[in-house]
Amino acid sequence: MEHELATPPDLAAMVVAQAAAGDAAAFADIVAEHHDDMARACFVICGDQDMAQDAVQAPWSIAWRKLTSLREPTQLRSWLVTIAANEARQVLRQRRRYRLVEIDLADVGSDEDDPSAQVTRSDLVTALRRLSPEDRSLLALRHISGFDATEIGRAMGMSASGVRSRLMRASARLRSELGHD
Amino acid sequence: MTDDALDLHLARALRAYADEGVRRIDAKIVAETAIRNGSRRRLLSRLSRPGPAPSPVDFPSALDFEGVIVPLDPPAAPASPRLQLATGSLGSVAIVLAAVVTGVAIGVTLPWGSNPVGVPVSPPSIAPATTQPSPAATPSDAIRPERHDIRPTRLAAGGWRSGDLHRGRSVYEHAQRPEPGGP
Repeated sequence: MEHELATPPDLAAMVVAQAAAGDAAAFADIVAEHHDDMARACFVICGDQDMAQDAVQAPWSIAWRKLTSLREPTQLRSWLVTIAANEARQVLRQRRRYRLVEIDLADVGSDEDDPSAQVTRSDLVTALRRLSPEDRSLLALRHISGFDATEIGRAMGMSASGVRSRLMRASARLRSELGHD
Repeated sequence: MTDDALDLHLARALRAYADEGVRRIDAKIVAETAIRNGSRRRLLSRLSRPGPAPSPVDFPSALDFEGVIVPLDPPAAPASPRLQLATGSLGSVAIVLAAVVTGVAIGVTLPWGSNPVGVPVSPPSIAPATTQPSPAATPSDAIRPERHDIRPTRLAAGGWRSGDLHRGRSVYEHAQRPEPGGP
């Protein structure tokens, strides 16, 4: 699943250039465009709404400072999601504490034709929590943000082949935890 | 389906779960906050690390941001290394400044109120007796009017008094004291 920029590349490049030149309105446009993508990845990594919100807000000040170092505007989305994912792991390390998980019985992704294929939210949360933050990052970047192995490797300081093998293990473990293997 | 792929239901469940992390935000406020924080951090960074700026990179790696990010909420967040560095520099400057001020203060107050031999000096009184040289004082300890130094004068009680202060008060008292034959 590959996400595409909602704005044409030329327009995106222009907005990035304006924001890098100090245009606050252009920067707000970038925030509006990418904040939700970053929030989704952060939430899967953190598993906590408050931590995810902290993690997704902090990178914007970095983005404002370092936007001029982004030479390829088409990389903006992966650059921002990478910063957010790294921040999410850092927030998770700093606030490693026990938190009660809100358990509701609402099913997500339910299929009435095949009840055995249903995935309850609580099962998914439990399964994700059994994975390491790095494995959750891999899954989030791959399946939520749509990164390829090279982009994930760049984001997490791994080789593309290392990403593939580790992602394979993480996916297999998630399936196993949910009884989908 | 590749080895790292999730089946349809699991992928859909994961995306639905991720959507729970999305909250409505005001992009303008988020941007303004980020600009404020980013500008302050940029200033601190420049203050704490003089010299040429690092060359720009195409795509910062994960390591570029490790330990650099501070949460937006200052009281709850630990300071970043750059912030600590800046704070340390300012702290050093403050310590040096305090030391200089303290030294100047000591230098100013020592001739007037200090007591080199450790004997407490009573507060100077304006009584005429204190303006007269003590009988116990040696000639070498007496104030020599031709010299306008501030050499301390040894008192009979064993204490020391600043000669300048002594002389100044004496002159003042002479000016205020009525002449014996005057009105």
